[in-house]
Amino acid sequence: MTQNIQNKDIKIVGKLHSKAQFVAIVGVMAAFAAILSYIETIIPFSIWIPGVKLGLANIAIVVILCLYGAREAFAVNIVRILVVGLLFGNMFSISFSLAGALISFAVMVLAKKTDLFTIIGISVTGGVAHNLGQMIVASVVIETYSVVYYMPALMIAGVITGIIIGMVGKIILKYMTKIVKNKR
Amino acid sequence: MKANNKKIRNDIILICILCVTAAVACFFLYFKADNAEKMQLQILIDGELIETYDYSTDEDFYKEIALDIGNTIVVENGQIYMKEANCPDGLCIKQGEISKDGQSIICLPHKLVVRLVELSRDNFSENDGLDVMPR
Ligand SMILES: [Zn+2]
Repeated sequence: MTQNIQNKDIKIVGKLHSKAQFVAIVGVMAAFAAILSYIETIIPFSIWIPGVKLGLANIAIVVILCLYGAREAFAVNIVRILVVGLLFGNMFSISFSLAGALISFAVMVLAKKTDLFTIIGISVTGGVAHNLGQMIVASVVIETYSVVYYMPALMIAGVITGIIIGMVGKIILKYMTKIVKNKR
Repeated sequence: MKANNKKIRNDIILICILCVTAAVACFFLYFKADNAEKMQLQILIDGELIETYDYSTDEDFYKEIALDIGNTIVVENGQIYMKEANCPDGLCIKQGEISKDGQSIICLPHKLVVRLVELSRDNFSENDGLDVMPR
């Protein structure tokens, strides 16, 4: 029951009416995503296969994707990657993470469009797509298929991180929906 | 409520499919006949085979391979690992030790691959698609 009410709210909220509102929401969520990316760079994470990331920033992306839509989430994603890349990375890490982020984003938008999954399922598709995408990019960069041996580990890691991020995202989505609803 | 339950069910199906796919891939990639008698340590830069070494599992065997690009590979007690690297991310050092056929250590910023290959397999690997990409 609650979920139905929530879905209705999301539909009402679904369109950002003014440019100012768009800029504000994108700005806040991009800042949130950038902080999450930064936190991720300082936590030691034990699977050091190229491409595996916790993908904390995906919390912000998946929430805004479910709350508003692909356009808003895309803007947040781009701003986040540029800000994080310029602050904490180099050209190599920017272009490399851009590839994974875009692949994961495209898959999540499709998963959302099918209307088959909850935010957890959407986040899982994103996590797996991110890791496999990075793997493919890595194999092109080093011109070797050796990376294929990491595929099972990358998929499982994507599923696990996707579930965790989806669960956190679900909680945040619930509160954000409430906040946006009360405002109106 | 019903629609939501259906979505949760779909989530679970999705997760199961992904896990099964990973398990199947695991089976095909790792559970090959483990009769690796002669293995070769191969070093590839930019997809090109630069150097090869015979791999030894001897306990006292120690070898340090320093590459011009700034990576140092060590073979010790049958384990191969990246000892030093001046790449920006240092992920190759954190990948740890390898000792089995098909395993590799990858330094992405330097486009370096260090891998173990069973020799018999390598003989036909030129066109089995799993190794070096055609240039
Ligand atoms: Zn490295």
